[in-house]
Amino acid sequence: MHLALPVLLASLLAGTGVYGVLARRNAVLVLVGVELVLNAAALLLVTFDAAYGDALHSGQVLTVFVVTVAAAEVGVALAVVLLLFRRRGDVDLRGATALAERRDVP
Amino acid sequence: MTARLVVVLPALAALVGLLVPRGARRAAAAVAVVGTAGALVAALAELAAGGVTTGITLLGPVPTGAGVVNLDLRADRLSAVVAVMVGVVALCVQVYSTAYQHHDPRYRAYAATVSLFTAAMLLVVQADDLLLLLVGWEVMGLCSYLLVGHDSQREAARRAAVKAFLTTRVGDVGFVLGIVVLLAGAGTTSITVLLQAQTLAGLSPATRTAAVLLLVAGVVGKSAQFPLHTWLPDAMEGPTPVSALIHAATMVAAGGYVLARLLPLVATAPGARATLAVVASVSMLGAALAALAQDDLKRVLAWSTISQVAYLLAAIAVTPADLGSAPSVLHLLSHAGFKALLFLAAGALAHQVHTTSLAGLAGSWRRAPLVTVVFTVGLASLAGLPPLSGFWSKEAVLGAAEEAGGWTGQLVLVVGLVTGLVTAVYATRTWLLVVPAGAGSAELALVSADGGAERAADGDLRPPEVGVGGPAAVEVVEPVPIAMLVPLVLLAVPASFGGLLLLGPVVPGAVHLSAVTGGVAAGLSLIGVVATALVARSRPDPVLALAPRLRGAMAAGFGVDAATRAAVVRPVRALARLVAAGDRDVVDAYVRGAAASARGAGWALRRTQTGGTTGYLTWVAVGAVVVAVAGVGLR
Amino acid sequence: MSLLLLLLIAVPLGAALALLLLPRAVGEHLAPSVGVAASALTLGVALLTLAARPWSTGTPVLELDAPWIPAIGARLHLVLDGVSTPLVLLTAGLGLAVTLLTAREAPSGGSVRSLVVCLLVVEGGALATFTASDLLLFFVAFEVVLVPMWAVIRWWGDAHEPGVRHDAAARFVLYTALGSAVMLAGLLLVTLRAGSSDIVALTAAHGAGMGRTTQVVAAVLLVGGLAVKVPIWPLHTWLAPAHTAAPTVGSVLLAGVLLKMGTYGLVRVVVPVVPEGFAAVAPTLAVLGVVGILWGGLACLVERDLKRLVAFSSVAHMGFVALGIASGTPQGLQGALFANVAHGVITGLLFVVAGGLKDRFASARLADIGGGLRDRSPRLGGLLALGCVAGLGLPGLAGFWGEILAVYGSWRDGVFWKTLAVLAVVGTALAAAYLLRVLRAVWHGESDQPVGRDATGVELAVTLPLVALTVVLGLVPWLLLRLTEPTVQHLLGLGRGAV
Repeated sequence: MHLALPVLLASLLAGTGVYGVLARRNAVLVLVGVELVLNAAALLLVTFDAAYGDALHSGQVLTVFVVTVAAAEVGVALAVVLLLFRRRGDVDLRGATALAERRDVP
Repeated sequence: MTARLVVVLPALAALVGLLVPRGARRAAAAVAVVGTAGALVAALAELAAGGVTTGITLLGPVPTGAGVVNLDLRADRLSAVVAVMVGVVALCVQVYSTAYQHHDPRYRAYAATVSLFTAAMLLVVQADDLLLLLVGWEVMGLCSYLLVGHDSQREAARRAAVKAFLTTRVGDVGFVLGIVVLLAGAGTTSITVLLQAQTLAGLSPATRTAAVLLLVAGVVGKSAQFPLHTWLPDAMEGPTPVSALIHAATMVAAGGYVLARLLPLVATAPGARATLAVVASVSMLGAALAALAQDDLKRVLAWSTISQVAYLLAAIAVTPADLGSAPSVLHLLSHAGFKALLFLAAGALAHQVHTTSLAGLAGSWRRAPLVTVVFTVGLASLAGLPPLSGFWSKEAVLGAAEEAGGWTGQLVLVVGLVTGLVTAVYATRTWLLVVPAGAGSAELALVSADGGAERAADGDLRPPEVGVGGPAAVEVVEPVPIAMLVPLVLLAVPASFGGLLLLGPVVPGAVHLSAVTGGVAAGLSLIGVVATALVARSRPDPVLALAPRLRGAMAAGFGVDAATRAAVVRPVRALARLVAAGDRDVVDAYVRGAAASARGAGWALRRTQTGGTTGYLTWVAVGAVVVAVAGVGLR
Repeated sequence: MSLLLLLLIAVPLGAALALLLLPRAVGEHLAPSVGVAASALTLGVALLTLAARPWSTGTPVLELDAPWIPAIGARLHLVLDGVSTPLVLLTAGLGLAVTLLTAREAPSGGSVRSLVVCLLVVEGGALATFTASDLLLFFVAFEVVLVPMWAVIRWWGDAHEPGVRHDAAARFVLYTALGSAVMLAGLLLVTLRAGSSDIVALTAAHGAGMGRTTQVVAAVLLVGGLAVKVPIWPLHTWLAPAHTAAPTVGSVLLAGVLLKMGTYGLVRVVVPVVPEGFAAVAPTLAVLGVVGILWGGLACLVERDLKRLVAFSSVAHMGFVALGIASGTPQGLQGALFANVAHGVITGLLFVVAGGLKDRFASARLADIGGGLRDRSPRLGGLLALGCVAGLGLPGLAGFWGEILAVYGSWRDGVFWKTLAVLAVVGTALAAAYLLRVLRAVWHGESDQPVGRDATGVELAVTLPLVALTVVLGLVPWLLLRLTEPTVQHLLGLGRGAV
């Protein structure tokens, strides 16, 4: 099997994800970008696991691991976003700087 | 065995003396006197036993890692004779102190310290190992410090105590290094082994000279020789019995004893010997001149001690090796006798009038005739009038110098003769100022301490109480207590007849006497006495015949004290301040700098904490790219 | 017999753990007695180890070897030989002293139970350091004492100046932790290159298997790290604030136990393990030691605070130890080990007295204490005088033998070493100057200050053994020197009596 296609697909996913993370201001869309990057990584793991025929299938194991972590992470992240929305009325990241270092405190 | 007892008994007396209940004066006095008397008896037994015994174990063998140092004692004629002398003087001082320190609230500590001092001095005398000797040597210094500072309420006493210890300690830097040089060179500090011919031959001349020079530095400090002599006159702030024991008879002479003990080694280092001869000559004459212009009896005696100890060191510097250490040891013994006598007599006289100034003591004859008689004997012996002991021992020194020849021998001979003249002059001056009853003196009343006038309980020096009964003032003084008279009379015996030691086989080695030198020395002494008496007929004080500026210089000890202060004490203090500032502002600055730089970095990094999520994510992306590029590039 | 080694460490640490587990009220109530009982038991165990006759041979007489972390080859390997025995005894003795002091006169600052726990952990950690024969175990034990000591200074320190106390504690913990990090790098380097972390094996190999460069780098790292703890000039600036701010029990442990861990590390881990490397570092170490002697002495001449003064005098005394170790001669090492113990005893005594004075006069400044102590409180004054006199290295007291042997050891061929020896002896004259300055200001004289409380029963109970030890070690130095001699020969790779 030729590797070009899956690798190309993974690059596309990762590129889109990074663009989403850096360019969008909506917190939910930024999360979507993060998920895209994670899935690109998972795709690469599965691809190379199949390509190299690892006896332990560590690629697949790690993929399952990534999926699990992503599920947990999305759970926490969406809860945070929800709280942000309740508190501020929107999910625009530009205004959410309450955790900045305060200059008036030494 | 007896050698061990000699050292251990007074040490035990010191320990027990500290344990008796506070305020139990009689018990403390009994312990001190019994311990010292025991040491004296043991020393006499050692003398009677005779012979040479080495390797008497005291503290056991010390493994240094490169050999073993045996902390042993030895007993021979030299150690026995000096131990007997120390025992006699110490016993006299202890008995005398029971009366002299009668009002002292700290008598217990005083007596125990004197006992400890006696033990330390006897340890120096009996030690067969230089490191063990050093133990006694330094403990003596400590006791001297404690006793000089005994009346520590007075600032002068505190200063004098510290000065005495520090000055001798500076000399001891040399002494310790000398021992280390010998230890490294010969691999042993055993005196017996060191003095064997093959050990001496195994040492290079440079090592021998270095070692002896360094040891001499320690002796110069301890024996108060130029230029480390300035502590001794100040040390007269201590109680007078202590001055008699430590600062006249024993500790200051211990340096001479050590060098006499090591004479075979010293004799192989001519350079060091010449240095010692010059130092001793300078001290001898300079101190005698300084003694001439003092106006305090104890300071006269202190300067005189420096001058007299210089005689015995000069003897070691020039004595031909085959004569042995006899001349110096003889002078050590006779000086101990008459100088202890002088100090104790001075203390007895001063005890009555509560001052030691020559002016205050004037007319002592009427107050204490017996004391002035022995005081006169002591002064005559000091002045070297025949046939008293001082004449014979000084003659032994001068005879050795004459025998030695060479420039050092001649130097010592000439300076010794001139010093003899000056000594006679200041001895006569002291006698004239203290003893005769002047005209117009107040009427005298002897009142015993128990039944008489009210007295201060602390016994410090105070002006005499003057009765106010009528227009003619009556001077009220106590008679000298019996406990002070007995030691004085006892000590007058060796001061008078110490010359007889020359006849017996007591002192090791031989003494060379010459009729010419003896005659010249005795003549010079007589001239000094008579001339001073003549000068005194027209003046209240014979020293007034000298020019005032010269007198001032002599009284100030020729400014050596001030020079030391300017050359050593002030620079060290300045350096200390510099170091303290450097510790705070330089060394610690790096430590504080580390903290400050961490804080600065934290300040800078805080600026990046903007709160914008997108910004953080940008950093993450950039970081990932950097890591990826670095990972690929490093492959 | 070998179980004694385990007991030595387990008793104080176990007692500390037990105290922590007790309910609060019971724990506070029992803490002083448990502390005293545990440290007394530890001292008993330490004395029992003497039955193994550690002076008879240069190799360990007691040994306990059990697997600990098999994955990295670290073992629970404890040994006892002539070098560790004196320090074990000293630590156990001082441990009993500080728990006694705490039981009678606990410093203010918080829970007594926590203080006793801290002290017991310091004691146990120090004992483990002195018996560890595995580099990793050595490091862990070395670090265990750090945080409890920090707590002792931070919470129970000088009640009058909290700011100073906090600063001193932070400085102490950061400075020594930095040193430990450097030392850890050295330990790892040795372990990786020599392929073993067992000190007994490394000592026997005597540097075999490590190239010269490795040895030099390892020696620089190890000496640099340990020098902070000793402390060696110019890494000493944590010492004076820590001593000044610490309560009496803290100062005693700092001076008597913690500083010893640094010198012990030099003797145990550096000298025999990387001999070639140490030979390259030794001249520098010797120079720094002598600078410390003079620097500490001069600083003491103008220091106004008694506790700071004693701390600076520690820098000077540890300079002698450094000089002795650096000389690389058996007599120098003997002197260093002797001076090590003597310093623990004398400075422990001085800190008990200085701390007592600080408690009474609310300040340790010489001017605030005032003169005439020998009349106002004769016992305390006498103890101070004896401590000062011993501290100035008077022959016949414990301070002397270590100094003279260190100087003797460094009297080697060449102008360099001889100059160092001369300067070191000059330092003893400086010591006399500053300690007599203390006595003149405080002990002598008279003062209109109120008469202070004289030494209490517990103070006497703690100090009198130290006084006795000072005198006994001064008069009968072979008690200790004979104990260390075979081991010193072994560590330097010399056959017994080869010199």
